[in-house]
Amino acid sequence: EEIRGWNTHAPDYPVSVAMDHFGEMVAERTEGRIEPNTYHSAQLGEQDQAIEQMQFGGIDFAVFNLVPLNNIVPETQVTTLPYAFRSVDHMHRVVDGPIGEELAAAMEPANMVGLAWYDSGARSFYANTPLNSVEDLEGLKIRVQNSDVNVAMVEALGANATPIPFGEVYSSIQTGVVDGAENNWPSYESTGHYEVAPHYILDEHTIVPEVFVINKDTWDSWSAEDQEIVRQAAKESAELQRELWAEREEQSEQIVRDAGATIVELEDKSAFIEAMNPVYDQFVTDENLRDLLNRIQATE
Amino acid sequence: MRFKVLDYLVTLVVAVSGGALVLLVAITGWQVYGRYVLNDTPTWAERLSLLLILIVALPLSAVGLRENIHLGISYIVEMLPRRAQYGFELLRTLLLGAFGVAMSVYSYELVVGTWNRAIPLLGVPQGVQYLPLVITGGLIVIFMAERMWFLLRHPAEWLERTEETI
Amino acid sequence: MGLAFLLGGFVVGIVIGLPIAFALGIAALAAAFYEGLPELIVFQRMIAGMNVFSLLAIPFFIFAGELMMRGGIAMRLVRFAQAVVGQMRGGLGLVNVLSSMLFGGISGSAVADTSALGSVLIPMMREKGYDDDYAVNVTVTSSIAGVMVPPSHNMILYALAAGGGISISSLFLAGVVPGIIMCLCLGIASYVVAIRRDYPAEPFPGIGPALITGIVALPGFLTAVVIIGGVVSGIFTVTESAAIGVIYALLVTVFVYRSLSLHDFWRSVLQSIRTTAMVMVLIGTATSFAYFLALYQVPAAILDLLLNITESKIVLLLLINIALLVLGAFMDMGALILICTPIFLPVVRQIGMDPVQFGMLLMMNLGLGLTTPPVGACLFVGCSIAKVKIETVLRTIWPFYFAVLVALLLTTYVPAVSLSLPALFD
Ligand code: NA
Ligand code: NA
Repeated sequence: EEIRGWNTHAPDYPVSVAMDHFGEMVAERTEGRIEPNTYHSAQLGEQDQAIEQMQFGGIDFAVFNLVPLNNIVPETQVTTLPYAFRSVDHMHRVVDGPIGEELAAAMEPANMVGLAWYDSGARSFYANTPLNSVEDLEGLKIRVQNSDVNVAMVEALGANATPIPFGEVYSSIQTGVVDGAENNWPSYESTGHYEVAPHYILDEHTIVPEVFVINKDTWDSWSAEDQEIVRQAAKESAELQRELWAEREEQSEQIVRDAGATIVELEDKSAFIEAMNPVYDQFVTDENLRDLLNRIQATE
Repeated sequence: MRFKVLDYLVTLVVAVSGGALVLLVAITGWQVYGRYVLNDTPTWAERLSLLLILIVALPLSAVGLRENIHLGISYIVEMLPRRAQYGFELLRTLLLGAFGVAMSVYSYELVVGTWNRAIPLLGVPQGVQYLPLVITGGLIVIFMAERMWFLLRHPAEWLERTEETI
Repeated sequence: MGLAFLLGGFVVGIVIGLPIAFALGIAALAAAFYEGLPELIVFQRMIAGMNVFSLLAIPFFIFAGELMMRGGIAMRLVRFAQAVVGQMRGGLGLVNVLSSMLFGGISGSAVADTSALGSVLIPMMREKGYDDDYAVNVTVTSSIAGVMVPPSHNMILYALAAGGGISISSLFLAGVVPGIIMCLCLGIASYVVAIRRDYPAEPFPGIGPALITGIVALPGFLTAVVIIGGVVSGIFTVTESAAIGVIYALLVTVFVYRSLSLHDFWRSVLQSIRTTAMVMVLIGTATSFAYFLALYQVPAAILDLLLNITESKIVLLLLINIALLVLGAFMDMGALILICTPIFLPVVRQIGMDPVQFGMLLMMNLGLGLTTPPVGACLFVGCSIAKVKIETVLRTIWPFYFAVLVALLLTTYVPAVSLSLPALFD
């Protein structure tokens, strides 16, 4: 039986390589009973639509970023708040533990079974003017993703949140439609944004995990034995993805530094963290979310 | 060969669509003004524009079926005898009507299935973006029913007409 | 087997005379049904295809073109062209080509070109003793300039279909030289035919009056500068530039030329929404159709097939050109861009062609398709304005097709034709 996987990245990206590896492992270990086939490069649609297709049964497995899941699985919103996690390692400890299982369980009503957690690094701000502290962001036009949390975050810093399609960001910075944007190392590098916005401040405001999910109907149609094989393969693919991701981050950082961009590392992020208080007031309104956030932050 | 009351329906669709186009220009202009003059970009503008274009285009495309303005190839069928052409006209009407039904029914499922989540930066339910399709499917069904009615009631008239563009 | 449902359903739909947009949608629905996939995916993809921000530029380009046509900008461009090249023998043919280039630089659409310029120039040419078939030949083929000369909404579609990564401003710049070359070839063709048919020349109005026609045409022509300038400088996004183009055209026709009445304005809106509805629905259903092509891995299969047939880059490009010409003869441009780009782009990438250059090749092929039977929107419009039979026109259109083919071959095999101007701005 062929099952269809969705992925937004090009075939050589860490997520893509790991998903292909997942497919090989499952096909081999189930002796062809399940043959996962991943369609890369968003051939089956953009992420928002892929989530809908997962819900209605058009695709069988995928790796989703948690930001577009916010409006469907409210619990995920907590993980996309700025400084919900202290570091990438901290994020790993949280999602690999009981909270990860809790988040995965919260996805079942949306017809998804969460099996493993991939990495997408930490996102930081960059601009075409020097960024040395939180004050330098004030008044800048910053491109944001289509997300309420991101708009609130940028506005909490006193900047002008400007939604622009991802593909137009480069020319927009180049010509001053916006002054900057925010992203992780590999995106900052591969998009060439470092050429037009060479000031990168490592405030690491969001560290958002990505989740490997299977369509619940597909999952329920399998024997317990096959489910175990698939779960194991997903977990192993996540290990591979995290390794590849770390390598990719290093390469990208090297390219950006060699190109002469100004990288500002922050010893103390407290000014950024404090500035985010209004975001927490706006989005952590319900008892359950507050409790979840507290437990995330209490995780060692 | 047409129901007068449906002419009024067409006028309504055209007025809404035309108004939406003018509004679309105005919103995009406002977006530029906000970013450069007010230094406060209206973050809702882009998403709202994407909803408006659906209102401009979709219901009017159903009207386009009624008025036969969509591009297609008619000359293959036109080589056939007039009676056979009549048969194909019936078949097309039936197929388009069925497509209209499918459009309405399945888009309604999409509306319901995505109603409980909001479109980011806009706050309205995501299901709203599928509503124009539900309406369009309904309009297609109405217009194809009208065509079918006249085809079946007045076949002779249809057969006598020449130079009908499809 | 599912693929047979998809393609077979589409072909049957076309043959029995369904509108292309709906034949695509019905075929996609049949495929979903056959595969046991949720049918609602067809409609979800439709909305997804239409819900792209840069696509909003399309209704704006169409709207701007309509305003210019009804607000007298087209007329003033023709007068300017007449003052510049009208005194040559067969001058109105050259006027036609030059006007297409100037107007095409604003409207962004070949069909708009044909209807706007055709309704001015065809009667004018007839009055001066030109034959109807010649008038239609020149009007129709030179309107391909509307697709090549920036701005062009079809280039936006191409950038979208390529999945991002191709800058629209590079595409706009890349279209300039191939557009000019094509107009030169067409100019030569129309001159040669005019000489053989012994068509007259127009008197030269004198330097002063010629200059005045230029000054009068300038504010209208600046619409193009506003749109292209906005995109290339990056001050505005493509969509914003197009909207500002509409606002600018409105201001010029109302306050400078004072030739746009409220009635004209509403007529422009009506025509724009009709065209927009047709184009957008086609984009929607073509997106659903393309989803199933991707699902059946058709692009990968064609890549394998083509690369197995031949290793020669020259032959491969020739094959792609022929395939595009044949498809373009049968189908509309917008849908073909969305369907063919994911299929052919990986092939030409494999042989090292720049995606921007491929875009030009695609535009010119499919633009030519707009002027050929059996489905050629520009040809239909041109013939209906002149009230001549398509057969009559086709008997004498060959020199003009040949001229476009020469430009097409240059664009296909000489990368610099497309790529030197964008490189200059990089
Ligand atoms: Na153009
Ligand atoms: Na054609």
